[in-house]
Amino acid sequence: METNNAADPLREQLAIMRNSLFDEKMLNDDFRVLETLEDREQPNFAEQVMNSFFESSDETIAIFEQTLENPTSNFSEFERQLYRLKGSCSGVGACKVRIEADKLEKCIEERDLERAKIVVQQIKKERDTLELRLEPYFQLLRQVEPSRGSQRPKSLRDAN
Amino acid sequence: MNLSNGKGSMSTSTSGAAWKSGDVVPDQFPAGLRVLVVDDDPTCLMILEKMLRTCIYEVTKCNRAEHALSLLRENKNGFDIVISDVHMPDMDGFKLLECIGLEMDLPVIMMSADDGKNVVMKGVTHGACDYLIKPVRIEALKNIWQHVVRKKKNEWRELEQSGSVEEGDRQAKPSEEADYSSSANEGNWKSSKKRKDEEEDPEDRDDTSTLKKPRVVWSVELHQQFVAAVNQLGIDMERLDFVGPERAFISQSAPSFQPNNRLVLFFPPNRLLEAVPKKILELMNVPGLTRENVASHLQKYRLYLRRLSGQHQTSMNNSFISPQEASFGSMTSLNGIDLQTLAVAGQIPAQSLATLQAAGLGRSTAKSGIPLPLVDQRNLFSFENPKLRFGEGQQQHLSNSKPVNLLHGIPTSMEPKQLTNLHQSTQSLGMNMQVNAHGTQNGSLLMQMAQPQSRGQILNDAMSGHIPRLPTTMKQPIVSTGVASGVLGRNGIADNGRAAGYNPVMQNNSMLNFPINQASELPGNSFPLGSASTMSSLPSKGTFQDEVTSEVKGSVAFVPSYDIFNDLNQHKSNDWDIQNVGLTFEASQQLNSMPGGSLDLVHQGFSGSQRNMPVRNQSNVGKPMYSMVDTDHGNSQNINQHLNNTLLGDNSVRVKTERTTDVLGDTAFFPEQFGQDDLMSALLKQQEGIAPSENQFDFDGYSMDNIPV
Repeated sequence: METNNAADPLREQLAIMRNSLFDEKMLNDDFRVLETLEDREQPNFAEQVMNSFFESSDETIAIFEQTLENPTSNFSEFERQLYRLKGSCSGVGACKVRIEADKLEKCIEERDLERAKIVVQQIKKERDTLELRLEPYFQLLRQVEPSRGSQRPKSLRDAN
Repeated sequence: MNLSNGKGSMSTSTSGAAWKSGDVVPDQFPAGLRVLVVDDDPTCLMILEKMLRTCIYEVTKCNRAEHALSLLRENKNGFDIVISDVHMPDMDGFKLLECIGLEMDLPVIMMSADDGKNVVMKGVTHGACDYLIKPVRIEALKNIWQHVVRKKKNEWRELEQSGSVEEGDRQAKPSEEADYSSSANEGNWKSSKKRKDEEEDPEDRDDTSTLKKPRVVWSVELHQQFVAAVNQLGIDMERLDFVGPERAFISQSAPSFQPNNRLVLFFPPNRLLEAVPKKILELMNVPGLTRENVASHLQKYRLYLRRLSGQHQTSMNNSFISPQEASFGSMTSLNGIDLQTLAVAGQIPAQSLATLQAAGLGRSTAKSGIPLPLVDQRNLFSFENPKLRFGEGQQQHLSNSKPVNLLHGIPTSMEPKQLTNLHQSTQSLGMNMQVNAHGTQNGSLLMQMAQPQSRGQILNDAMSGHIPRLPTTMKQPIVSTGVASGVLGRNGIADNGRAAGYNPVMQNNSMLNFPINQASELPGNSFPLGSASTMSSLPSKGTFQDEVTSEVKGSVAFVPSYDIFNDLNQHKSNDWDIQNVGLTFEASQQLNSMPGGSLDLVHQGFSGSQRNMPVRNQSNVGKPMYSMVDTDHGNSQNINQHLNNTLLGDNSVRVKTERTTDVLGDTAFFPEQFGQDDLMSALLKQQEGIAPSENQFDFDGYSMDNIPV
């Protein structure tokens, strides 16, 4: 890797990107935990997890939409997907998405399908936003610290 | 993070596989804990796996519950703990939890983003050892090993109490010394333990897991096979050996009925436990039957025989050792062993023993020493003491088999039913005690135990008239603990307290009552206490807890209830019970530590506790009993019915008398009535009604010759 000096601007940018994600509450401490789990074997663990999250949330959202379009009396699958989404959001620290998921749960409890549909779209939006923000972040991360292992960006001037 | 290999290094390669019960390397523990993670969400699965690896656990992940189950089934003992999500597509997490509990009896942790009270409660009721709310923190995962240890500890204790040392106990086992001469059970227990450890581990392991599995149902045929094997091998039931001199061992060891002595239990030498059952097992050649099954059944059988002989020989009970005298040695071989077993099985309180003895003798005696029939086995046959039979016959299993068998292997044509009917006497208790003593797993044994108790109860009730029903039913488990139950019956009044006391104990100590089977049921692990005598096969714990009755079939009824249900409901109050119970099997010191030190006190203690948990016990205990009644056909039912009838008389229990055990009717329950003659006639009458009267009670009919002495 290059010397720190050369990487400083990139690292700085990285730090800024990361910090803003937290500041905007798109991510929370649970994401930091993912980062701490990175090691030599899986230096990009956080990224891998996020990719998995985005993938499965896509499926979940699709099921939400389908179910709401054709509501059946049996909402068990919907419910299961909902719990699954809540669980994964919690695990990766995607707080905004989680907030929307909680709203969706409430809508279902109140049997407010219309509102539920709206919330599902919000979930989708939050999820997409997060993905858009994380993608460049991870790219840069790989660039700046390809073998970061346990050295996380926070070792950078992760001011906040 | 706990990274022994360096930061973040995974330790899949770490000793994960090495961490097995008994194999654990203390300094590495809990490293290598084998965890199975089940979650349909790949993201969570990924995170959990990573976290667990960071804790240096050996992780296997799985996203389908069915797959998880097959993994668990294929690798019995391949995992130490399971973490499962609640909401899964192919199978509900709770259902998986139940299955695992029933089949593998592993600790299961539930997790979910759902933190609703209901769902968390569901986890509790289904027996989850913990419930984690997502996001799961690594700190929470770091401590999951405690559940494994706790479960093993409980299992170990149960096993201990039941007198059998299983592999699960390895970790906790005390120093292993084959010091048979030591009067303390400790020595025996250790030697037993040692024996167990030295034995084939894999087999033991399987047995252990088997313990928690459905119990062996000692059907009539199976018991007949057993008896045939016993006879064929020429096993001296008095000495219970054909390979060695337990007698010497027995006589040397001080019996442990010292006044104020916690019932020093001493455990028969390994040989006794190992060799004889092994031989029998080999001879029986029944697939799927384990040595432990046989051993526990053997215990019961011996108890039964003892009871029979004891009843006959009132006068001959020279060997009866008053508890206070602790003169085990003076007991005849038969008695000695019996007593010992009894002692081991469960803290037979001095009084209980006396009572039992008295009962056996057909009279109530305060302290006649160990009630066990010391008489020569042959005498049993000569005395038509139905009581004896009952003792043995109680257990349906036994009764089913030939009565003769019970009577020291003499093939009798006694119908099991008849036997059961006869059992009303405390003898059944004796049987129980036996069973307890051996503590081998025993599905069937439990049954016996349960029955005897009821008998004892009945007697008690009959005698005291006010013996709480609970105790009766509950006594069953207690009975297993030993003669006490039987004794209680006799003493009636005296026993009341005891019974009560015992009940709680029993409940907790499923193991006591039903050796082996228990294994699990103590609270926390929901090990079925298996108090239900008739239930030889204990349904999964999970199920059991919810419905004792239903589960009771063929397995220790009590056990199931004990399982989660107990854990949940009674664990608290039973805690001490369990401890107490376990103590009986454990070193005498333990007994001492029991509240009240002496057995008597214990009883009291129990009674106290019993009162506290009357409801529970009843339900638990009673159910098993009832289940037996309901589910068992034949003798057991008869007996149960009787028991139920009598027992439940006052109790709200719910035993339904399925068939009236006409034979026993009321007479059986009343110790006073246990005059040999009276009983005999009563029994005989019943016999005819119950089953083909084949001289079940006609001991004369038995050719003693068959019994190798």
